[in-house]
Amino acid sequence: MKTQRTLSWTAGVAMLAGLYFAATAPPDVIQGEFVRIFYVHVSTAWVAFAAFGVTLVGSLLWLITKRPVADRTAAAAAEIGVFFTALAILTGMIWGEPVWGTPWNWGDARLVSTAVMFFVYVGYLALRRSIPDLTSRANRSAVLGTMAFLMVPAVYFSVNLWRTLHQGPTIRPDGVTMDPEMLRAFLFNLAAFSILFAAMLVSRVRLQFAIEDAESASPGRAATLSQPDLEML
Amino acid sequence: MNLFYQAKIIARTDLRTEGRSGEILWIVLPYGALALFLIPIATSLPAALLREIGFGMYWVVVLLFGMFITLRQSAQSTQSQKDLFRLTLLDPAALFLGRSLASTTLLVGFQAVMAPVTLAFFNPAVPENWGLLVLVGTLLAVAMGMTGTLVGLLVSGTRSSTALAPLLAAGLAFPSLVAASLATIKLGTGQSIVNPIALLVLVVLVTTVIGVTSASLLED
Repeated sequence: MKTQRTLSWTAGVAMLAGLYFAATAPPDVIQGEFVRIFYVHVSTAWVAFAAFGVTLVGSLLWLITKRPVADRTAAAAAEIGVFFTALAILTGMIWGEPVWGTPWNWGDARLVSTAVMFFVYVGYLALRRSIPDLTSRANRSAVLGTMAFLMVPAVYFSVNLWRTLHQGPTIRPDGVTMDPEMLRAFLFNLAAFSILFAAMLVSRVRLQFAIEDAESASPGRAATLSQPDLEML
Repeated sequence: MNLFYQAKIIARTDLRTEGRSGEILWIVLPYGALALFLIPIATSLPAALLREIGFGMYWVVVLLFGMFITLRQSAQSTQSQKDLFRLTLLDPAALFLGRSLASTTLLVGFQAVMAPVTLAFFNPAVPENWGLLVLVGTLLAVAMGMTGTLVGLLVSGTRSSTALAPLLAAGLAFPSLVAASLATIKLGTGQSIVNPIALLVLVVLVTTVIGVTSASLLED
């Protein structure tokens, strides 16, 4: 509980600081003030990729060790990954409107493949919801969680295979093509979003175990609690 | 009995069952052809543009209707069939490979029927070395056959499996569709298709490894 509280507070403070750096970083020579969405857009995309990476690791760990925490971590990471993928698509569309002149472009490989990745992981969550037995759910989700990760390199390398409007990497092995102040704001936001992801992950895994404990203690409880709501309808 | 012999028997049995039920021949094939007719009507595109998108339409129909083929009724096992497989000591990996082989065969057949339909009604420009397109189509059939079979095992016996399976299968088949589409474009412009072929081979290899190693886990 202490870890969760510490992570939540750290995430909150880091996000505020990240917002400050993003707001005070210099504007881009070509894109002007619109470049500020870059700090949020890339960070959300990074968290989405990291989350699906955690889903892969959790799935493999479940297959090897059969420890419930591995499966619940994989599921929690997938939920967070879906949320941040949606955010990355949304912020990308907001950014695309002024910069590309359109929020959506079918000619952009990364945009389209990211949307498909979103649907694959929505399918992962739907599969989990459709299997009541915990062990069977964990087994099948682990196989799908492993296979679905194929989408991550497919999205990342799609720009090399297909046509794209996306710019190339700004941080490359041969150097950084970014103003130092912008780089600082970018790296800080990346770190802040990563801490936020860690906080959300810990919180969601704990919640998942709490729900299971409550359900196993009193199987009919959830239905009883929701009865007044149903009657109101 | 070794793994591949068991897989061959499963594939043969699946194809015989399918032959008797006629689900692909009498339902999926006409439905796919109908989709190819409906697209030009719905979009009202000029003939020149339809010619340009002809192969793209073909791959989309192969992907979407290929899902019906891989998730067909004869590829699903009832509980009593599953029990029988266990009693006969059938290797679950052989079941996966056999079902995939049967689906691949049916998908190749589906593509073979849809290709002349597309050529006749869309009249797309056929690349000079069209033999390579046959190779791409066959690799796509293998990739889709394996992906669809794996998805079928994943959703087997779950709530809302009929709605969930196409969502998963179509999403996971996306890299294969991109590879096939890219290969067609590159062949049309005389470029090398090594990258799309490598992507298709990679998908086949990864799906084979995941399917074979996890088949016993998905048996329940």
